Amino acid sequence: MRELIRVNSLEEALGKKGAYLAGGTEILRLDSPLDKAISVIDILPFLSKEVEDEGDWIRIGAGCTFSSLLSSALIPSFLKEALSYMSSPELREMATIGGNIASFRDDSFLIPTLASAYARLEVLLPGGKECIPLSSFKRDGGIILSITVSKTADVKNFRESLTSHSHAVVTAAFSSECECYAVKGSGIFFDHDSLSFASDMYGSAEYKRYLSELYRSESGRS
Amino acid sequence: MLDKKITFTLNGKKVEFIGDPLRRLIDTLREDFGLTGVKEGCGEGECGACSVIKDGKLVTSCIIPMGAVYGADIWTIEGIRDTELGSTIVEAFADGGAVQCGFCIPGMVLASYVLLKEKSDPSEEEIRQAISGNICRCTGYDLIVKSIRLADERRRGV
Ligand SMILES: Cc1cc2nc3c(=O)[nH]c(=O)nc-3n(C[C@H](O)[C@H](O)[C@H](O)COP(=O)(O)OP(=O)(O)OC[C@H]3O[C@@H](n4cnc5c(N)ncnc54)[C@H](O)[C@@H]3O)c2cc1C
Ligand code: FES
Ligand code: FES
Repeated sequence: MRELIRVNSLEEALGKKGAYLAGGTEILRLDSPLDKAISVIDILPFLSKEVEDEGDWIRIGAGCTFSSLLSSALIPSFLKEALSYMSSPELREMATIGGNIASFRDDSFLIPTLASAYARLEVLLPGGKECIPLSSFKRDGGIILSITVSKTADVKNFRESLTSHSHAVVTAAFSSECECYAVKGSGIFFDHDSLSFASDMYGSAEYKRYLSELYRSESGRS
Repeated sequence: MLDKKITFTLNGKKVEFIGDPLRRLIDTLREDFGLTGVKEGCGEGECGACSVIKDGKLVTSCIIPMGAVYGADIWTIEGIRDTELGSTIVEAFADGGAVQCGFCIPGMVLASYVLLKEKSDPSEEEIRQAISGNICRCTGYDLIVKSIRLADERRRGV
């Protein structure tokens, strides 16, 4: 039988094997890879739900939900645009920003935008806390505590999906020094040169390549 | 391991659940408490048929484990329809012709309730946004939107 484990601290959670429960939107969803996880460790009570102003940067607690961030005056409009890609108000009330990054999905709502806003993650690892660029984060790479992003980055977002509820074919974001792509069926890419494309039910490899190039040129890159 | 006993408030009454903390809230509500107004459409957080109000927020009960319900305040259509605002919405849905097969309607009423609790005289855009996580296969939404507007006008005495 599956079990839900309650811990007294994030350090204790780190020592347990299983999936972490934050907003939980991936944990019980049918067909989610986590639907089969034997142990689920409740970390939500220990995650920060605060947004802090740090001058040109903001620090976002990993436990902040999409809806709390959408209603925060501190969140820049480019990030609100990406948060609103999650079109269901019900999901926005539950899903956390930390859970979205950790899920590392190839149709990620937030990763391209956060990466283009030079996001750095504070992560709890067995050796202690570390601050890493979002591009270095690996799935199952510790517990995300907070995300620090530039408020002033000139981020441009792009996303193509059939309807507002459909999974995106390509999600991309660009700023003057960063670009990031989530390509359905292929993964997340933090630079243009590593991009690869696979055909699937969402579209052919050629279509995905076309969208990526289109977005890149519309963002002002050659 | 988590305690097996989970106490929470359900439609204004203290209740307890003893069992698997990974059991879905929707199953507990429908099978243990007989609250069959909570419908299961997709089972994966997509359609809003299973919507309930948890601590004042609209959430989908098919992806909430019982372990996340400790101490929560849960309302389903069976509790909301007897409140003043809830009954105003239910009557407006009936009078406004918002209901065809009815499957999505409990979720729609709860989404409308959360909206109208927070906002007086919402715009059409705000109404459509508020019900955007609730999928209706039958109506095309227009009569639902009009009925929510009607409920708002009635409760404001317009
Ligand atoms: C119908 C539906 C459609 C969806 N469509 C999309 C989509 O198109 N794009 C998209 O990006 N997402 C999508 N999602 C996935 C999901 O809702 C979001 O990614 C959400 O932000 C996950 O956050 P959560 O708090 O619910 O995570 P949870 O479900 O609690 O956890 C998800 C994963 O993240 C890990 N995790 C959670 N918090 C942390 C943390 N702080 N540190 C380290 N690991 C952590 C868990 O171990 C688990 O592996 C969809 C979900 C549903 C139900
Ligand atoms: S049954 Fe829960 S969202 Fe569809
Ligand atoms: S009335 Fe049939 S699904 Fe909405």
